[in-house]
Order: sequence, then C-alpha cells, then structure tokens
Amino acid sequence: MSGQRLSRRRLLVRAGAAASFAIGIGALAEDRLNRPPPRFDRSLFPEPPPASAAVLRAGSYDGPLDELLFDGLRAVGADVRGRSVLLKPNLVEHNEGPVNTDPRVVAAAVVAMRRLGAREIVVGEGPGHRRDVEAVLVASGLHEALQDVGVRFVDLNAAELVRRPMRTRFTDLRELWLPRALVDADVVVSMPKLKTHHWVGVTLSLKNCFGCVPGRVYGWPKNVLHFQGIERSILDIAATVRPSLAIVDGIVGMEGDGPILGTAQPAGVIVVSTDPVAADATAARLMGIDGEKVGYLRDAGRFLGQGRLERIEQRGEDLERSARPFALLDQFRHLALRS
Amino acid sequence: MPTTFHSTLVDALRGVQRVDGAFGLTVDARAEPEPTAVAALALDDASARRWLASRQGADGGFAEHDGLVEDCASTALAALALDRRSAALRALDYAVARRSPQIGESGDENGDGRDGWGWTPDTYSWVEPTSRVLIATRVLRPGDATTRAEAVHLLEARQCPDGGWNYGNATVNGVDLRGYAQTTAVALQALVGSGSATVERGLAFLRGAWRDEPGGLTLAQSLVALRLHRDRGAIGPLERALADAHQRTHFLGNVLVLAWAVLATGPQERIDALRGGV
Repeated sequence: MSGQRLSRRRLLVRAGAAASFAIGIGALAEDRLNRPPPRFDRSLFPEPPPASAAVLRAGSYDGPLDELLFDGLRAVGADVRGRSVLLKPNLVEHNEGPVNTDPRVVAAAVVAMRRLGAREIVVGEGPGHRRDVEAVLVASGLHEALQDVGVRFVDLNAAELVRRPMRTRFTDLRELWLPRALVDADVVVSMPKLKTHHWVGVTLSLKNCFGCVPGRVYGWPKNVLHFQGIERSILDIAATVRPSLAIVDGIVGMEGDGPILGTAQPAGVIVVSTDPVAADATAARLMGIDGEKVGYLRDAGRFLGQGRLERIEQRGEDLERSARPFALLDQFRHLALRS
Repeated sequence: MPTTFHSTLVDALRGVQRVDGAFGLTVDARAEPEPTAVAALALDDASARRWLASRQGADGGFAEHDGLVEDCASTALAALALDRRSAALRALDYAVARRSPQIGESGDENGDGRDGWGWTPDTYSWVEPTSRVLIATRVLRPGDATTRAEAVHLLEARQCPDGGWNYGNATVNGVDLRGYAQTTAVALQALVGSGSATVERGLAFLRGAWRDEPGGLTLAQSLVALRLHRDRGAIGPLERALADAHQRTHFLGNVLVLAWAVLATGPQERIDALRGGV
C-alpha cells in the first residue's frame, strides 16, 4: 500500500491534473457541441482541382455564335457526346434591356451541343419572379429562337418534381425538390447573364441555379430561399444541382442595380468552363470584381470548384485585357479589384 | 360570351382530366389542388370538387405532392371550389390563419407582427396569395371585416407608382418597381367592389400592360379581372390575344393556365362567383 500511497501534496497535484484533463476534455466536447457542423463533407467534395476557362470575344449577337461556342467548348474539354443536355438560361423578365440570357446565345449553344454530339437537348428555366413563364419566353424572343432550332422548352416551375437530399448544409433545408427533367439530364449547363446583383454582388452560373428549383414549392421569387439567406441558398442549390458546364453571356451585361434594374454594359465576351466556379471567378474578373471578395463565390471555391484565378488556366482571349470594370452599387464597392 | 374558342379550350381541359376528376399541373403530372380548384370553378365540375374534398387535410388545408408540400396559397383557391360550406370554411380558416411575418423596406423582417399572406409558410406576404385570401374571404365569409381590411390595406400599400402591382413590394432598396399585368390582374380580382382610386389606377394600368406580357396566364387572369370589373373596352382584344397565345404555344402544356383560360372565356356567372356579395 505504501508504494501506492500518495502524499497529500502529490494527491492534490494529481487531482488537479485530472481535473484539468477533465475540464480540458469537457471544454473540447463543449467546443465541438458549440461549433457549427461542417457545411460540406470533404469526402463528397475533395479539394477543387485546377480548372480551365475560356474567354471568347463576341462584339455582337449577330455573329456566328454557334461556331464560337463550339470552339470554346472544345477548348475547355466539354464532352457531351451521347449525353442528354439541359440548357438552363437566366430568364427573368419581359423587360427590354440585358435582363435575360440572350436567345441567340441559347440557340447557338443548342447548335454547338448538337455538333459536339449531344444525344438530346432541352432548354429549361423556372423564373423566380414570374409565374407566367410563357409571357417571358415569348416576349424575350426565346420561344421563337427555340422553335428555329427545334428544341423543347421545359417550365421548371411546373415540371414534375423529385425530392433529393441536400449535399451541403449551408441552409437549414435538408432536401430539395427538383424538376425530374433536370435530375434526369446527364449534363446541366448553367447559362447566366453577366450581371451585378443588388443582394449578393454578382449573379452568374451559381446564382443562376436558383431557377432550377420550383416556385410552386419555394414560392415566388423563391421566397423560402431568400428567407434561408441568398448566399447560403446559392451554395446548397449549386452543390445539389451540380451544373457541369457554364456558358456566361457577357456580350451585353448589366452593371449597377442588377439583376433587373441595372444598366447595359457591352462587355463583348462569353465565358465557358466545365467548372462553374471557375467560370464565375473568371466572369467576375471580367467585371473588375475580385471573386474572392464575393462571399458565396469564395466559399464555393473551397469545395465546389476552382475559384482562385492563379489555378484557372485561361484559354481564349487574354483575361486582363478583356476586363471592363462594371459600375457597382455603394454597398458592393468593396468587391472591386482595386478597392 | 362563350365562343368557339371557349369550346376549344373546354375540350382541351376535359381532355386532360383524370378519371378521378382531378387535374395535374401539366398533362402527365400527378393531380394537384391548384389546377383542380381552378378547373372546378371554370367547368363547374362536380368530380373535380369531389376530388378536392377528398384531399382536404384534417387541419382544413391542402398540400402538393400527395401531402408532402404544404401549400397555403392554393388552399384559398380550393376553398372557393369546395362544395360543402363547412369544408370551404375550414379551408378558409386554414388560409387566413397563416399570416406572414412583416416585411421591411429593405426586404428585412420588420418587427414581430404578421401582415398579409405569403406563398409558403412563414415567408413574407405577397400580392397574389393575399389576393386569394381576400377573394375567398369576400365570397365565403363577407362579414369578416378584419381580414378583408387587412388584405385591402396590404394591396393598397404595395401598389406601384405606375398603378400596377409587382409580385411583392412597390419598392426595393428605395427604387420604385414597375407593375406586372399578371399580378395586377390578380390584385384587381381581389379588389372588385372596393371602388377606390387604387382600383381605378390599377385598371388604367392593366388596360395597357397586358399587351407587353403575351402569356396565357397573364391574358386569362387579366380577362377575368376586367370582366369582374365590367370593364368591357379591352375584353375583345384580350380574348383575341388569348386565342393567339393558345395557337402559338398551347400554353406550354400548362393545365393551370388552360383552366384559367376556360374561366376567362366562359359564362359570366362563373366569373361572378369570385365576386361574392359585392
């Protein structure tokens, strides 16, 4: 017993150490309990690899855009051979002005996809503001453009739905209702307009995914997502929809009070990438914006795609020489590269 | 008013009715409350009404996707189409009880109060769902002055400077929004009988604005609004525009739009069912 007997002093020291250890474990456990759970699972979303993006020069909508897109898509290694493709333009309003992805770019993408060997092509959109998608489709000229190239339009607000678990946890939503036409497509192509956005700074291929979720479940203009936080919703939806191609219409973009009330900015470019985050980082740079200062884009670069320009191989036009600073609302001046 | 075009639309709508009387949002889709409710009103169809009655929840509400998605906004429409008055009142109670959090000028939540009605549970109040609650209250419980006044007040407050209604607010970040014909039509359906300057400004806006939004839903709902208000000047051109739209797109296969078009071009008494006692 003597060998095991402890002096009072040693007992106190050991008791203190044990208590400290217990407190330490407790603090660690408490820290773990208090710490928010990880927003994404690294096993599902490994560190984004280097990517490529192509900036294509297009001074107007009247040129041979299908050839330009065909070359651009090949330059970034887009492979749609034998696959079904859903093109998702940004169709917002019947307004005049550069609010919507231009129908000529959408039609050109259809032709380019066919040349690249796509098995089936549909165009789908679920506008956020407008329940009457037909009004926007016709007034924007997209209906006529799609008839010319013989492609069907799917109203993603009205299409049959399936329920899918959310792949990330930026919002409180744990599942997402998505149109079956979108889920069944082999390749989802996000085709946004190059625009500033009065809530989140920029709206590009990731934000464009808002139009993939149905208004009849999430309200107009997708109220539930606004309530959950627009940036967090962008991340969850983009991570769940996972568009595998992006084509950004920046021939005429929108600056200032976008995405609806802004001013036309003829940027004369189209951005193409197989990595939507890389496409958005490149497009932001073309607008004179540091993509890593855009909250959701910075977060997306951690898991969803490559957001660091130094790890995006630029093919096509020179990025720096093609850039043209877009006017920003006061609350987003800090996003500018030189701020 | 019923015309050959109306008969064509009725045939098309009857052609997509399921054997149980219900309608899906698109031709091959599962049955849902909203298209079934509008079709029941447009066709005065007993089997559609029966299907609706069979889908009413114990709480009085309706849900999409076999009950998986709560649907506040469709419940007010369904209330109008239910046969049994007790069932209709339960649906109305469900809809009225789901008021929205108040919205601030910047789009942020503003205080703890609730004001108006939204598309989905616990999101901000919006013009169209509020209008649906107002119509259902006026028809089913006209003595509920509190609910009616609240809805009218919200619609008046959300009217845009051009006289129309945007989907939700009249301004965002201090910038005036412009009205949409479709939302304006729904707000005017709700405000029939109120006889205010708000209505006059809204009608003046709608008489011109529908031409810019050549979709079946906009045109049909505009036609219903103008016929409710006995505003006959634009009815002929609107009906022709609706026929053109149908020829152009077949309304994209959307059964809800088709049902609104049947109501819009059908007998006046079916449209007047939305008036209530006013």
